[in-house]
Amino acid sequence: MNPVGSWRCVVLVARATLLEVSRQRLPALLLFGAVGGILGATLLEDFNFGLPPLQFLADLGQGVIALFGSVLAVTGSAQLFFGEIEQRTVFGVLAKPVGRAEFVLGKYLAVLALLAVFSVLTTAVLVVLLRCRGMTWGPDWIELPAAERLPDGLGLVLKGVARWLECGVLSACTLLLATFSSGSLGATLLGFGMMAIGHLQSLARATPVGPDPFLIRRVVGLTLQALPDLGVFNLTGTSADSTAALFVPLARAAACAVLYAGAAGALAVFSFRRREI
Amino acid sequence: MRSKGFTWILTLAVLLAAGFIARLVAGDETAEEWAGGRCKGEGGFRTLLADFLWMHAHVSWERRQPEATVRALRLTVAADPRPLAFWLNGARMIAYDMPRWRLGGLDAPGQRLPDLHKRLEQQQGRRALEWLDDAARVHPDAPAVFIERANILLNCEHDLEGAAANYRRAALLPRAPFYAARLHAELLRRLGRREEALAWLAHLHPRLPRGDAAAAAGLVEARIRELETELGVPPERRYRVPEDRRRPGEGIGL
Repeated sequence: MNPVGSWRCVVLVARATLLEVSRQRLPALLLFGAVGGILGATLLEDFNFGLPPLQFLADLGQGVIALFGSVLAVTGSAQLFFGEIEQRTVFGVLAKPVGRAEFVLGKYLAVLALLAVFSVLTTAVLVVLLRCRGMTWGPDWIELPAAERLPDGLGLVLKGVARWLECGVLSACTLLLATFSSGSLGATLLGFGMMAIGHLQSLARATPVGPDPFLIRRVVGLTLQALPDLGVFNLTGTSADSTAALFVPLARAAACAVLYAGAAGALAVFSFRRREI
Repeated sequence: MRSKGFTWILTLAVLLAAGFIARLVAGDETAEEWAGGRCKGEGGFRTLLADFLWMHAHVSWERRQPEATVRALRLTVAADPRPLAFWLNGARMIAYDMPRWRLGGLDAPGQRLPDLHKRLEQQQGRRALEWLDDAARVHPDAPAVFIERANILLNCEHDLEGAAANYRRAALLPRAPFYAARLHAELLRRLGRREEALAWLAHLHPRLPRGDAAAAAGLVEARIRELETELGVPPERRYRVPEDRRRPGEGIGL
């Protein structure tokens, strides 16, 4: 197999997929929803009981980005994968010198590009909003205790990168689930299930367990281990001494993203090759 | 069929292996660390989630349900351990409110069952101190946590020694309130360690900012004079106020 030719096929599939995305309403709807959610976070300031207002807005804004980004990653991956299968155009694509692996990787590349655009735009809106409320570009809180530190522009950008990595992992996992599913609805629901478990893993570990938890803990622990822990990508609560210290958890998150996405992507290719369309 | 089963098994095996390696890379937190309030998997909504859990804790608190309140408090700080208000108010609920609930009546329970009340107060005080130990792990540089520990040791455990040590620890932290250092000296005095109290106050006074009412430099000087009189310090060895003292807004810098 010619790697240059393969890569060209992947890019071609990705480009065609992005063209298809530009005709869909859902990504634009999710983008507007996220922007609305970020701006609407200011209405929830009365629910803040313990954090500085700027930190509260930053947290909530990042939550909105993560939520809408995750929804885009799951629905986008499932719809774009099944779109061609349901419309039968996949036969035409695969009849050309495009392998199944190239088809899956092309779809994944397109979703990654879409998520990158989404992350850049929403993070920019959040940064502008917080800048209007008095946020600085660099950290000016190094002397403050962790509880009183405020967000800064560079920190938000690094956290935005972490969110993009998270959505990339979620997208790869949804593509894997799609190769096992018979339709886009099933893949989407499974993707959302994975998203919920991934986000709640840490809270599940923090919840007190019953009097004889050994067996339950083992079974639950093994199940959780097979699913990605999306908490790795959340740098929001990292008690870093400076924004520069965010690079370490971000590098770890990037390593985890490559590992999770690599494993899920390889399995998706393997599964799709054995699947009847 | 066999092929499908193989794909499933291979998928599970690869995902388990990836999860195992990812946890090694990311650093897998143990249950104790989670219990200590380090929880980071809720996305940016952690603040809002914690606020709603805090309101839920308040509902249990209003209903005077100790177990439900503690459970809700634990979840609150697990969702977002950053706000000090959750830790401090939680400790106060555990230490001061719960002994009364557990006694079963609010109408002067101390008069009816003084021994039981005292025992419950000590038990709850210890629980509140364990809660604040977790807070100190999350906020090692927050003087308020150590001041709250000192308050509980003083009011529930009646442990002057422990309270004095915690006020001292708080006073030594950056941005500590001035009263922490004064309370440390006062407890040393009550413990009969007047020389130590005098030395502490004499060390503290030159570092207090001028013109800052909270620093209460005049009160500290008066305490120094009282202690010198009580200890019979000769005039030539008495504390002399230095000419140059710190400006308002600067920390004590002990």
